[in-house]
Amino acid sequence: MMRTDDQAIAKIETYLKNVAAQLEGMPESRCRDLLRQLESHIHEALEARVGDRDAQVPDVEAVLADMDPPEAFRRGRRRRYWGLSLGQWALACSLSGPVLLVLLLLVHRGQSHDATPILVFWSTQAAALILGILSWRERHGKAAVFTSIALALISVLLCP
Amino acid sequence: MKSWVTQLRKGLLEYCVLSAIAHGETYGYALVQRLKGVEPLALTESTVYPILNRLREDGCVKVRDVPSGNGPPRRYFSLTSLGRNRVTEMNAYWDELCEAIAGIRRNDDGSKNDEDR
Repeated sequence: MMRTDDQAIAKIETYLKNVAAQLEGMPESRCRDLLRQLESHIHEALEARVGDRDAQVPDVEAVLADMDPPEAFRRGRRRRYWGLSLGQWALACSLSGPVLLVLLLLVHRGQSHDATPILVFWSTQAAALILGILSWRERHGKAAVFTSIALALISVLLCP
Repeated sequence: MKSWVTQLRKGLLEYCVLSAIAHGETYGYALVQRLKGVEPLALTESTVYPILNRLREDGCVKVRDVPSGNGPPRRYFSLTSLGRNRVTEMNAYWDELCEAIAGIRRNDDGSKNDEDR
């Protein structure tokens, strides 16, 4: 039966830790599952390589060299900020603008010279536009940019 | 060309993984080694394992963990009935697509394109 020495185990754990760092934002159960499968994969690869003798650091290094580097596990994954991607934040800003505008107009009824509602609206649309452009490649990024532009144009047309 | 190949591979990932499992229950390492051996696909651990997890969440693949004497349990993957249906549909679409593309290459009148002569 194959045994793995402590230094070799430490190498494996470092690799898995580095992969885990690339999975930031992934739900924990999915992350745990993936890491467990990778650990199993490494052990299988080591067994295929060493057979019955003990696995040592050079064996682990050879197996890991044949696998994807930890950075590869980040590929194609969108970074999340407080649970949402950049594009989703952009869309949220874009759509919250009109809602906040209506709420503030209701609150500021009678105070016709108060520009707060309009300023809040334009701020949310500007934020949405900037975030949307930054995340243009994301599905929600494009939607946010177009929504912001459309809402801004509508508000300009409706302004007395 | 590189961009086209990348997009094509992305579109085929799920089909290839499901097709590989369709032959019978298999475990992660064996599956990855099988797919890695297909050079044009360029499939590796960082693409196969996340897809397997997603297919499992979608209900196309089921898992069975078998304790191993040394190291973590070995996870076996097999298709569910939903997965088998999906592969069948994918196979039918793939055959149709290949036939259609072959028709385009043949120019539909039986004469081959310049590149195929």
